[in-house]
Amino acid sequence: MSAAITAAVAAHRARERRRLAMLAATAAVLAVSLVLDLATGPALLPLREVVLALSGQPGADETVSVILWSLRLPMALMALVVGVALGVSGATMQTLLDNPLASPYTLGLAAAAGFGASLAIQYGGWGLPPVLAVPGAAFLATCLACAVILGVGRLRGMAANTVVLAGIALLFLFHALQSLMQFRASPEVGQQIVFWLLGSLAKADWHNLAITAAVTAIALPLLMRHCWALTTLRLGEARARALGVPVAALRLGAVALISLMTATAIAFVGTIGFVGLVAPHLARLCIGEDQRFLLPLSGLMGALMLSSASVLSKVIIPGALVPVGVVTAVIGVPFFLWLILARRLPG
Amino acid sequence: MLYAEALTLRQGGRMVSRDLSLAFPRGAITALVGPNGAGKTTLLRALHGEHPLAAGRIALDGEALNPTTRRRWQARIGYMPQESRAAAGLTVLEAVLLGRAGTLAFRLPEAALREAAALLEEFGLLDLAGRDLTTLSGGQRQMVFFAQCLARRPEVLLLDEPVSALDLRHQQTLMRALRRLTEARRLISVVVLHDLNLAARYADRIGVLAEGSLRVLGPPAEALSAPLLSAIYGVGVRVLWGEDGHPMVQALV
Amino acid sequence: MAVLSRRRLLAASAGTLLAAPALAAPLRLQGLDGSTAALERPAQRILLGFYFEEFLAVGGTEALGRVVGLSRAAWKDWRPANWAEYVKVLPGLEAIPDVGEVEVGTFSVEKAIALKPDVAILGDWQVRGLGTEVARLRNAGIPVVVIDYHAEQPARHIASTRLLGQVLGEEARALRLAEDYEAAIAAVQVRLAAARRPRPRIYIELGSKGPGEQGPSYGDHMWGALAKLAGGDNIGRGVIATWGPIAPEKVLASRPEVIAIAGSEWRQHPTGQLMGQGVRPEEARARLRGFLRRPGWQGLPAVREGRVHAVYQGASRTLADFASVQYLAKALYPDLFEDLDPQAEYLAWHARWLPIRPTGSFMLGLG
Repeated sequence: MSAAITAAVAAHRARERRRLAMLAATAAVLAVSLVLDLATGPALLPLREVVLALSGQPGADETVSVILWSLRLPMALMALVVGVALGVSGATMQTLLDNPLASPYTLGLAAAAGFGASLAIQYGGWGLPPVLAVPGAAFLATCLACAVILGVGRLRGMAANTVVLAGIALLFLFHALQSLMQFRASPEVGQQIVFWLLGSLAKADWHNLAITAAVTAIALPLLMRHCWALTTLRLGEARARALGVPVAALRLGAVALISLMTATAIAFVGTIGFVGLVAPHLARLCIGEDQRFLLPLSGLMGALMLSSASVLSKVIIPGALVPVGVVTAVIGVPFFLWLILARRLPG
Repeated sequence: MLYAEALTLRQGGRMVSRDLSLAFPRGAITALVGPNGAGKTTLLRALHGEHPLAAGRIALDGEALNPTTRRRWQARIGYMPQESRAAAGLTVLEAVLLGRAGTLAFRLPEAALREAAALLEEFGLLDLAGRDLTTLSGGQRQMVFFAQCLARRPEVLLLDEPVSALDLRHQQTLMRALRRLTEARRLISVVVLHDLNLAARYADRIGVLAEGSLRVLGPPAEALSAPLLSAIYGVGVRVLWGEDGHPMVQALV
Repeated sequence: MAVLSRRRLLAASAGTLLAAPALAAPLRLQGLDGSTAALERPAQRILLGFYFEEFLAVGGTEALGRVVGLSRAAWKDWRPANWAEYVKVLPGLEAIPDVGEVEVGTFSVEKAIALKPDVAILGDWQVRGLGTEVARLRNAGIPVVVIDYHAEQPARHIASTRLLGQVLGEEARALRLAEDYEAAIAAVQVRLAAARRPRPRIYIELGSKGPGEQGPSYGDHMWGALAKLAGGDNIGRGVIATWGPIAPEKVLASRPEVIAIAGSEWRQHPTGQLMGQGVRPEEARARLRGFLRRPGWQGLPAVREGRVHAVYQGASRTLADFASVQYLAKALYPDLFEDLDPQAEYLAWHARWLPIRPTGSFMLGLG
């Protein structure tokens, strides 16, 4: 084996190690964000108390413990799980559909969830307790939207543009239906709908955190199994097919899996936009198109975005809580524009 | 030997090829030439197993191509489509590695990396191994995709207009490499070319297709006849003999 | 300090109540939404969500010292002049921490828990607005007592008042308040029943948006229910569920014989109905006349006969709303209730039970 070959191989391994380091660094920043998320909140608890309560020491104030363990901790962890789900979903969608604008939001999945939730809120959950009915309806509505998108896509051999256009059409439809619900609703119901639409981590508790985490934990490895196929798709559909990637089947399966993951996440936190769109681009800037690294980093970036948005939502107005969906959009948009202008994002 | 027997191919309701029969031997390059819309790409895709056969059959060394054997079939074939998309964020070495995407484990085995690097070295591209794919010139990129094709260790190479967008030098480089590898590894190479002279120089046999039917299949001297070419291209043509023994086609103005 | 109730906090499956040398037997209270709350004794740290004047009427001004947190916007923003009057008399009011307001979504469960209340008193409308968040309060060991004056059902007024009495340990006072209320309403009902007149049609609107935009009207809820108690035929009944706007043409088509526009001390709105503390009658009437200029209103029976009135939003969903019932009854059947002076009754009630002396316009007509 020639020395040049060994050098090239070594260079690649070094590249892989750098990417791994990038993942580790992001995870570290995420940990910091998590701590900040736990330390901030409307109750304006002193840091000492927070640390005491977290460490489980006997001197901890019981009220602080309650706030930390049943309110802040589930919310902070939910930010991580939902961020991962949205980031990975966005990255996979952008690769699968060959479209830098694809995301769970732009394909109408979030809007469908919003409509489902509005229905449940308006009709009082049809007798079921709201804590079951609202997420359940949101979830079912998203699955319905996914089925429509995939159905239409299949009629055209799962062509990327068809899927994207079907998704956008559903986005408009469900937005209009949502608006109709809000218009017809009585004021109290209307308020609830609006706050669901703005997205909020406040409804996170250990139960729905467990469900969301479980679904994400199952879906992620299933997606990662196809990371080489996804990387190949980046070379174009024709070349990927030439290399034996079953493009249509992959699209069908992956979109279904992604819908499941995002439906679960959105069902509990409402529509949080922009994370699924921006996190993958951020990750791509740092780590390239090797999906073995891009998918995990998109997940970590998504988690970081949502976690820091959660922190910001609490510190912007001390003592009050800005809905996190508002923060991700208002901070995310200028940041994204800066990215586009400064770094010339790949199209 | 790769056989195509009595192939009838349809595209969007329209008949593209009718009753095509060809044989492609090992260790030889067969060039497919003909006017646009003659059905060359469709034939290539059918040979790859991507385009459904309205009638006829395709077999490689006796094993027929049908829906159940498709995956195994495609694993033996290196197909290089016309499109030349490059994604930013992939290095040259990674692009070559993707040729074996279907068989790669999560952690890249050392052997796969070495093999990909060796391919690049053979084409003189090893110093580009760490470069982003989009920073390469068109000609260099095509060579990388060619290497990607070969990374699959195929028995059959199907190349769809691999040199149409390349400059003179890179055209020669790629075709020479194709020649070398076809002979060394006893590959069955089928190349769709627009440039008749390139075909004449490098191909062992040329198949001339027009309006979905095969007009002639044979060595360049036989296949490139002026009357036939004039008829199918609709322009006056003259065939000369070059100094190296290959025919040269010139269009008459 | 009610330290004993804190021990239930960390266990998700609440343990049994620890035996404690309680000064009074544990109270089991049935809220107006059907929920039950268990208090160990009259509460010392109270989170007050709404119905502030009822709270003070039942508990007396000393009760304010027991409030550790309240939904400030629901008082200060909705009845600013009224709030200012109370602050003059009870300066500690300003210092009470704010837990946020449900309708605009700023209610923070975290803040509420951090204040370590023994009990949270919330309105039924707040519990509905909070949805699943209320369970979090309960899970954190804070009993939630739900009361409701919005429905404007005398039975619910009475039950809510008595609940307040139990929470504050002022059952006797609460009983007197409840009985007085019941009597006042009954007096009106008796006269109406004896007279057996057909019910005049009445339209009531919350004039917060001024004549230019349709404000909410009511179904069998709030002002709509009060109108019904006063013997009126509310045109919003059957059209609106609780509250919300009616289409302008529906108002015209229903040809109401009496119109009442509810207002509050919203001075920031240029044309909204002004009523309440510090509002002069000329101001209130001027704003009221603005509503008459709505298209088609000049032809309505109520306008032609000058039976247009303004009422105070703060005098609804409160124990003092018996005065509003009296006023509406008088507006609907002027000859039947000639002897009643509802505004005087309203002020007298305040003088008897609350520390402020309201001055301003609380119910008047264009007349």
